[in-house]
Amino acid sequence: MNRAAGAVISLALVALVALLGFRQGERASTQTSGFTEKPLPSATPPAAKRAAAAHAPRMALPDMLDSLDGAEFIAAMPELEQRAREGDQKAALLLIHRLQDCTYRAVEDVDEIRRRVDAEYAHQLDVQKKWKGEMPFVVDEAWHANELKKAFDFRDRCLALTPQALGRRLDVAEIALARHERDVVIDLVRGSLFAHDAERVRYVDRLDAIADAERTEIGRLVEAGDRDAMEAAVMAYGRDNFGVIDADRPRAYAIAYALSLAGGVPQHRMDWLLKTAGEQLSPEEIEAARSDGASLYARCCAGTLH
Amino acid sequence: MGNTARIALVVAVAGAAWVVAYTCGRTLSRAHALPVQDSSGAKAHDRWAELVRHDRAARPNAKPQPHASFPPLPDGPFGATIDELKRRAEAGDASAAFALADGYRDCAYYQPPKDDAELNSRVEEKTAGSLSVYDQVVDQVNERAAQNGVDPPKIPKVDTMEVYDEAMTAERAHRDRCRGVAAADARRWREWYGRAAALGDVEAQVGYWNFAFQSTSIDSLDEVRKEKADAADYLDRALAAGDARALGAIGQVFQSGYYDEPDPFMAHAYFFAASLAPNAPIETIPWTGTGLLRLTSGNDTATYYGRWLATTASTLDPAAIAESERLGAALYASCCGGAR
Repeated sequence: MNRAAGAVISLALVALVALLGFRQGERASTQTSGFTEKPLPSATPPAAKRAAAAHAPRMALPDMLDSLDGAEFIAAMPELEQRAREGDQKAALLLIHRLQDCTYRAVEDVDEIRRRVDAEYAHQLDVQKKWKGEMPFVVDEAWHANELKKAFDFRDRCLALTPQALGRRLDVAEIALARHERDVVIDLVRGSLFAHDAERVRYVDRLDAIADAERTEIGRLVEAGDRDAMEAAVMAYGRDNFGVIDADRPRAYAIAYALSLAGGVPQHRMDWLLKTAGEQLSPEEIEAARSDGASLYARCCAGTLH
Repeated sequence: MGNTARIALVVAVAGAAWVVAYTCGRTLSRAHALPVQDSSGAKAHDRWAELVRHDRAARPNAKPQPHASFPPLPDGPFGATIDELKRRAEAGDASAAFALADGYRDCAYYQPPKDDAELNSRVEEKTAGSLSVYDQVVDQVNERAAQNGVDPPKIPKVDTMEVYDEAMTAERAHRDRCRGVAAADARRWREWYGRAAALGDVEAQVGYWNFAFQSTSIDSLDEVRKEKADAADYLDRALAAGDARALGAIGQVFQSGYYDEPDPFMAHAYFFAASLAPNAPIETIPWTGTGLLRLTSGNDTATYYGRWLATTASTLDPAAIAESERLGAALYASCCGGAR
């Protein structure tokens, strides 16, 4: 009796374990094939990874951030992003400039690089011939080889940045704009941030929001009579395909006119700004823009010296 | 046999049973997971839909146009049929709108020769250009053969007069097609392409994204937003119509990262799905370009997708490739009616 009962219990135990095994096998197979329980292997890094990077131990950086070379820059990115979030405008600008530069360099073909450097070499040889030995450096085969090496090294470093990393320059810009950081605002309006091709489609809503924020922030600085901001605004509103702000030539001319009344800009530069802003305007539009510019001058700059 | 030994035996037998059953369960489960039923296919659709849902919402009035039957397109050179094509496109004829887009695109940057002398000179230039390209290709083939230490393949010689005659025929045909076409109208061919897609022309729906996204660097952000929403809508409609080229187009969209960061896994899945369609000449894919661009795309869809699959696979590990291709098979099955 005891022996029979033991055998039955043993068999039941084996059957139970087998059933559990079968179910487990089914579940494992489903998990391997399905996407409901397992995230897609995607190029997008998990948000948690970015958050962890933001809280990584602080890294010592040189005083002159510009001296970071490509590899050092990539290693320093988490620290630079942290500093940018905390309001370090130099860190923000370095991030924006380097990442922006790499959006082109990362897609530059090896042959394109060779053609670009070869063309520069031919140009420098010409210059050297014209200057007859007065060049501060010697242009020769070694110079050419060194330039090629620098260009390929630069491309390699840019290739180490993922599209997500390149896109993080938008994060930096958004944070700086939200914090009303003057230097970054002016730099952005000068066209340091822009998107092209696929990025312009991918980030269209973010770019639109950034353009709105740039208009608001630069408008605030212009109303306060900031000469650098006024110049930047004339450039941004006066030209097509410049940064992320669309052209608005009457506004560009009005700001340029206010700036000309306020003074402080060398005459030849001022002439050029007015000419650039007014190029596509009719005499009537220029007249209206002057009136707006005079009002702006009265608000921003009359009796002030910035 | 003592109790300890008996328990050990039972545990061993149970363990072996677990392993066997686990394997059976997994195998059976996989056997049931045929591509059509596989939840991964549905999820992939969700992923595409998830990416473009926001963009589609930007054009709430977009509705598929009812299909109307129209008579065949008018005969004759394009320039002579424009008025008729416009009338019919305005009446909702998608094919007429596409013919306008195609014809205008052909003439957008065509400068008609002033006289026969200019025609002859242009044809001579084109002939010289073609022969030069031929020489370069032959040189490269020979050079590559020498590098690989093999005999160069025998490349047939071309007959100069034959090339000249072909260029003359093509030039005259181009002149005839574009006679009477206003350049300013022709340069707005993209608008007709978009209208053809909106009216339901599947050729335009499959190719719209490519032509629209080529100009985004100079379009305003408002225009880009609309083009992005339209492109998503048209690809969805082509996919719903069972056009396998839409799968390849979505693969390109994932590869380039138009709606999210570039995603080689999804690109691979969609390229694989598109590659399951019957092989066809490369001209059937509207975004592959013409002329020398064909050197990179190949002459047929199998070669084209094969090259893209190699590119995407190079960034994925073997498990991801296998998973992506299973997903691609499911996508093809749900879009285009099962395996070939």
